[in-house]
Amino acid sequence: MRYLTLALVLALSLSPGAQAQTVEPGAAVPIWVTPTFAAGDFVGNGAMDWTVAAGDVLTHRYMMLTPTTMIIQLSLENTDIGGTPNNLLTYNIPNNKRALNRNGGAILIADNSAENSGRYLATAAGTTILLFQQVPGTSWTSGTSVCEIEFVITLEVEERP
Amino acid sequence: MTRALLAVVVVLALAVPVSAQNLAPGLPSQVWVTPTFAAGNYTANGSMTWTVAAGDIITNRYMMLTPTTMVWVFNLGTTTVAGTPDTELLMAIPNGKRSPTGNVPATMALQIDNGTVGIARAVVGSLATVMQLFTEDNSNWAASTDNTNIAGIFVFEVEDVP
Repeated sequence: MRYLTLALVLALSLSPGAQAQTVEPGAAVPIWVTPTFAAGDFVGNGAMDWTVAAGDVLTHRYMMLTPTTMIIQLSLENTDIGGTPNNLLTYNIPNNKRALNRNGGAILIADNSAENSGRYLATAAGTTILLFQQVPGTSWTSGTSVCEIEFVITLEVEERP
Repeated sequence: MTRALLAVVVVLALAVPVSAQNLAPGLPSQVWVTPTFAAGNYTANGSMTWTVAAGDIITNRYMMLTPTTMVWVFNLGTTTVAGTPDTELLMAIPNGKRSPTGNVPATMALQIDNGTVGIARAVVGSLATVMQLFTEDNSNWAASTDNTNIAGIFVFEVEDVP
């Protein structure tokens, strides 16, 4: 009888139906999500205005690949730069997350409608991604429908406190 | 009898593939795949031609990270651009995938445009089955013989082509 009990225990613990018991709670199949558009997620630094309308957003998607790994796809066109030109555009990290550590790389931009490469920087505990032109300190150019931002970024993130 | 039953149960339980036991239900196998070479997977817009030979492919690998997320790594060397110069080199997305509706992911790639090193723009349009490769400033690709290279890594959302 005890062998039968042991067999049943083994069968229950090792059968395919028990897979979920061996997978971390956050390991469900990740899905892509479109954040609700909010103009306030796109801001210029200093007295520079960065205006992104809903119609400027070609793609804005994120996926939580793991509970602490976020992939963000962003493609904006025809956005406006106003106010006093400055060097930094900021994008709000979605899903109430913030960067866990410093992370930077290259992005695609158009400044004054001229296509080029730019840079992004996420800072430790930062809730935004900083978007620069290729040369540090270069101001974005004022104008209507002149600014384009495109990137796919992978970030290690955590919940905002 | 019970010992025999025990043996049967253990054998059946252990017969489940180990990989399947370690993945969340619904996740793909997450292995890197080299697509079969096909010259027709490399084209260009307008009357420009892009010739990629099998021997030009240093790397072309993809992995389905999730059912809707592809990681694609490519490095093509010594390819040839001819015909009427134009703006787009086109690579077919592997594994019968395309970008979903309204999705236009874009990232960077490295280019050698007839010997000149620079940055390329890699874009997949909504519902597109090809990746468009533009020069950094969207100018025409230069004609070249075995002197155009493209390399990049792209993580993007995909769906099956119906």
